[in-house]
Amino acid sequence: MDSEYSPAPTQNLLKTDLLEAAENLAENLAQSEPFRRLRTAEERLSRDREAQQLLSDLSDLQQKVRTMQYSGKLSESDLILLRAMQSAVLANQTIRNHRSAQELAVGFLQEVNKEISQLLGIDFASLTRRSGGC
Amino acid sequence: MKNRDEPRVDKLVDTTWNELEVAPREVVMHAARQFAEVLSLTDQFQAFEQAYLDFRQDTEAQSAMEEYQQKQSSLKALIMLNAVSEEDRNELKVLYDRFVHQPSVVRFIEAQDKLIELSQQIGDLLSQAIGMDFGSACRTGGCCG
Repeated sequence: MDSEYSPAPTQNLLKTDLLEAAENLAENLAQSEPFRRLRTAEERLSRDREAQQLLSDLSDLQQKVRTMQYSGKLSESDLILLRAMQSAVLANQTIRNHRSAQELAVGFLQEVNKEISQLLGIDFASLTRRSGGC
Repeated sequence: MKNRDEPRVDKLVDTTWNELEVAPREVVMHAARQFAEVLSLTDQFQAFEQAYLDFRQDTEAQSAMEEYQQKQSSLKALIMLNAVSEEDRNELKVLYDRFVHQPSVVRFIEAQDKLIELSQQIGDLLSQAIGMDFGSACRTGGCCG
């Protein structure tokens, strides 16, 4: 493709050198140990039926508890059941491994952002956010 | 001291990885620095830096900002209680308009918007590669930190 010709059907602001640098960073991040570990943990989590069932059950129960809370029908036994389900999820090794891999990947990403931000003199990640809300 | 023939524990954790494909930390950090350098040379970043310097050196804009901030600060409690009088509300609006219509402020906001637009495209690219929202993951110090 002719690099001098730059049609802009979708207003792509990334010029060649910046696109190359961004793609190089993206590729290296994806191939870094924390993100490789995260992908492995995600694959294991998606294959683990027991873990999937626990997460699904917890999600259903949380939804039910929220609904009962709004209608003022939440009982002590519902809360005990919710806590027991949360403990079961936290005790599952596959889920724990996934969470720990996620934390490591996020921590690494924050270090990378810090490196970029120090050189720019501004928090780079804050400029990339599309929504201001929490 | 460890026996040299003893297999390392971390080597046993994920035997499916091709170690040649893993990007070491130093390589990622180098790519990050290289990226930051290229971004700092873009028109959008240079314009943003210049606009910021111009704004900081513009005494009229600085004074307009201070006046607005002082008024806003003095009304903080009333704003939280939604109990600001009509007169104070109007005065605050006049001060705000005076601040944001200063030429150096207008240029700074425009330059910032262009840098944000560019950064968002880069953020999308990074997020897609890592399967996680780059901007949200880098948020520190609470939900709006």
